[in-house]
Amino acid sequence: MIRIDRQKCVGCGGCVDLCPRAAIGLYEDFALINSALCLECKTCVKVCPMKAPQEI
Amino acid sequence: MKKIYDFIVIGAGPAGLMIAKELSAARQDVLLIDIKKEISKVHRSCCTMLINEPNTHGETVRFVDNDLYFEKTGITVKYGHPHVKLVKSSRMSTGGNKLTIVNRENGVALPYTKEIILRNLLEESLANGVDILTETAGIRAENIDGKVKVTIRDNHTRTQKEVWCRSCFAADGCNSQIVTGLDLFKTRKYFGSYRVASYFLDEVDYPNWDSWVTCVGKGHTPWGKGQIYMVPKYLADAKEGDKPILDVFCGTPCGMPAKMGLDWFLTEGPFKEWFHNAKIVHKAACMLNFYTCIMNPVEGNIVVVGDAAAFIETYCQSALMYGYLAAQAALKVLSTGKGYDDYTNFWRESFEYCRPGEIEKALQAFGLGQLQDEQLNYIFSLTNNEEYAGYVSENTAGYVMEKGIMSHIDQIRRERPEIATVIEKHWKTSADDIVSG
Repeated sequence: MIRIDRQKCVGCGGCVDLCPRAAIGLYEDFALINSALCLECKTCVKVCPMKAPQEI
Repeated sequence: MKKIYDFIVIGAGPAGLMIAKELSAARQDVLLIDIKKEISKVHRSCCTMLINEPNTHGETVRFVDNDLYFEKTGITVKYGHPHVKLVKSSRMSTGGNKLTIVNRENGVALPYTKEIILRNLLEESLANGVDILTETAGIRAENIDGKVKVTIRDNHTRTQKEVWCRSCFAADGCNSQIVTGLDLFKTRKYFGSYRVASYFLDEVDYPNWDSWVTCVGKGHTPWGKGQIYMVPKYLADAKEGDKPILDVFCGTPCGMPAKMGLDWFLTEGPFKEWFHNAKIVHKAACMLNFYTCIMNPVEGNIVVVGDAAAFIETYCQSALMYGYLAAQAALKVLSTGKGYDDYTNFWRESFEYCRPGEIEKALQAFGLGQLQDEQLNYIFSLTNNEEYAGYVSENTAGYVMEKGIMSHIDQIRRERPEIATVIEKHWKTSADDIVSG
């Protein structure tokens, strides 16, 4: 399972744009993954400049 | 009966807001869609400098009475906030030696505050009656029977719905989902990806407040690749007389997150003592995919504007200009049936990266990547006390830098022939070396 560390995420939206399943939404200052839609393809992990998405 | 807007604008950055403002001023029924909650808050890393070199992207922009004035287009964009005048642009080695481009009279670039531009345009758009949907992603636009069906997704519920318009503008930035869904995307060549992290730092013990600084060399980042940039600028709540803060960027083409490079530069890099007492007042980041420009930015009734159509970026100033021109073209189409051809032609002629070979040339100018840090220190020791006339500009600074180094090539050949060989080869560095990974 992948979740976004809110301490690290700055809400730039790069993962939101590039998630192939549109599983990520952008809230106030951070991104949030909908685990029901997530395929765990790790695109967000690869693209994030802040290392915010983490596998748990 | 479903509502059909005259125009839907996807993305409320400088291009999208400019379009919305202009079309609504002409009494058009406009819907503006943006994924963020607060449109004027900036979470994406952006240098936001007024590139004041004449004829940048076919236009000359300068500050007049603290507003942005576009000489050729003849428009003024409301600003009314302090900006910084940088008189130097330096490439700096790990040892602190520099190659410096100088323009004392006009500045080499004038950093300003993007939030203020967005806030002003948003206010004007709202006053003109633009409908705005925030926390909503525009995910697809399709030409259907002379109209455009736009599919949008609510950020919270993830539910999708359709909205209709006569014409649609895709101004949703460099990772545009609208462009991805259109056929014209398939004509673009992919160069690679780049990640950027940036911190706004206060209380920095910094000697270069008059400069745009690019750190050149392997020793600035922990993995030997990536770039550090530093630019002084004002926060959105700054007042006249306040000190600027320092915006420090780390860009990386490789697998490592830019944040790690930035943290390392500030705590362990060659200039760490500047940042001992630094306080982070804001963080931003962005993820860029490098693609060639869209040469035909108009498909049916869908127009792609700003970064969404560009290689990397159009700069904030040119996003405003192209947004204005695209809106004017759309109004002309309404009255005469034509107008987009002029816009397309201007885009191709004015945006430098639309020209063959320009992308490759710019990528070569990104860094003296083939040299070791000690060799860069040597070269910049030769240029340390010199000043070269020019501007901060992707399209011309590389040539100025090349000229500066080449003016010492005889001495380099004599003293360090192995470096001369590398330099003379350097300008042919492949684009892959810059953005691979």
